[in-house]
Amino acid sequence: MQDQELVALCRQGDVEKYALLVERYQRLVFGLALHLLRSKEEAEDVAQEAFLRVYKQISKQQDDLDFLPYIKRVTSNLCMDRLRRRRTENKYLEHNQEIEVPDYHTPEQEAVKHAERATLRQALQELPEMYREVLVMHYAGGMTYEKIAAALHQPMSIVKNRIYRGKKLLKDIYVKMEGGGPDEMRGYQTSVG
Amino acid sequence: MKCEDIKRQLDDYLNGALATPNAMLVEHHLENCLSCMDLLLPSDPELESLLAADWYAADPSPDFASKVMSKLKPRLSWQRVFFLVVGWSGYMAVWMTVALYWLFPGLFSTIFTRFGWVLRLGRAGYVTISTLVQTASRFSLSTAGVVILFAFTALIFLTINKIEKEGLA
Repeated sequence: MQDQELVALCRQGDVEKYALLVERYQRLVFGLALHLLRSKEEAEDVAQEAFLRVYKQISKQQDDLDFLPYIKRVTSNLCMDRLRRRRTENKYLEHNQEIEVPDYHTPEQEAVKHAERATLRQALQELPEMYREVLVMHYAGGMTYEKIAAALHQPMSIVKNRIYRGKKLLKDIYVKMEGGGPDEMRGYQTSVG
Repeated sequence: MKCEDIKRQLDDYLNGALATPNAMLVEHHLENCLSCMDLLLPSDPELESLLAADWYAADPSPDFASKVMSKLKPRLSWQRVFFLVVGWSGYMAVWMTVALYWLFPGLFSTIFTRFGWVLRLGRAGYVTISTLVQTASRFSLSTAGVVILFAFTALIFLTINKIEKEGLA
């Protein structure tokens, strides 16, 4: 059943259908929160809160909503609130720990893709927080530059600059992890995708 | 270096064909010029597509979905609203009867003798109505009446508020 049908049924009061949406997207929502917050407990809290908020919104809103982009935005915003609070409380360093993100268990033909993704996750972990944060928000969270700028209380020039530098740095780290030098980078550019 | 120069040299820069001093000038300009940075941001489709995939997915605790579902409040249905109102009214009627009996001990014997036929028809609901009639006849502005009126108003207000919050199935 499509997301929109499930959302429509939830709006009519069929609570059980929401469980299907939760099961379908729990890994993405939790993963997004985990990569932003780097704390499993907090990520799970935020993911739960996001699902509850979206359910309330579905009940109130009569217009169709695109479930996945919407819940990603809600999750990113909740994470930003937590990060802001954490920074004001100077707890940032305590939480900035390595996170273990379990890899997929998938058929062999998918192995290459998943290896790339695993390397990307590792490369992101190596990135400084300021760059990783904007990249995760933009690519995983689907947030626009404007929304990221508003969430971080930073001008858009800084956000774009961080995304630009972050991607550059990410690519360097990625290539190093793949065991290549500058020559292999070209190889990577043509092989991925 | 001007924006036009950057646009002209961008392809060479991305392909690594620019000499180092020139590449550094391009980089310096790009980092400080928003419009030129826009040209550069979507310039890496391979990395973009990798980043746009669901690389970030991770497994939450096994009971994650059930935790979420247990926190979802069932939305109100008309039946629930009906039972809510009737239930609260009954509950209040019982307590009001007890309160009135305590305040006016002689009241019920009066009702029983004068309006016994009413009591034969029903229980608590009729007792309350009879009590209200009696109380209203004794006091022009019955305290009990005001309390009941206030309680019913509050009940209706709370129910509407709950419906607005949770919606109606």
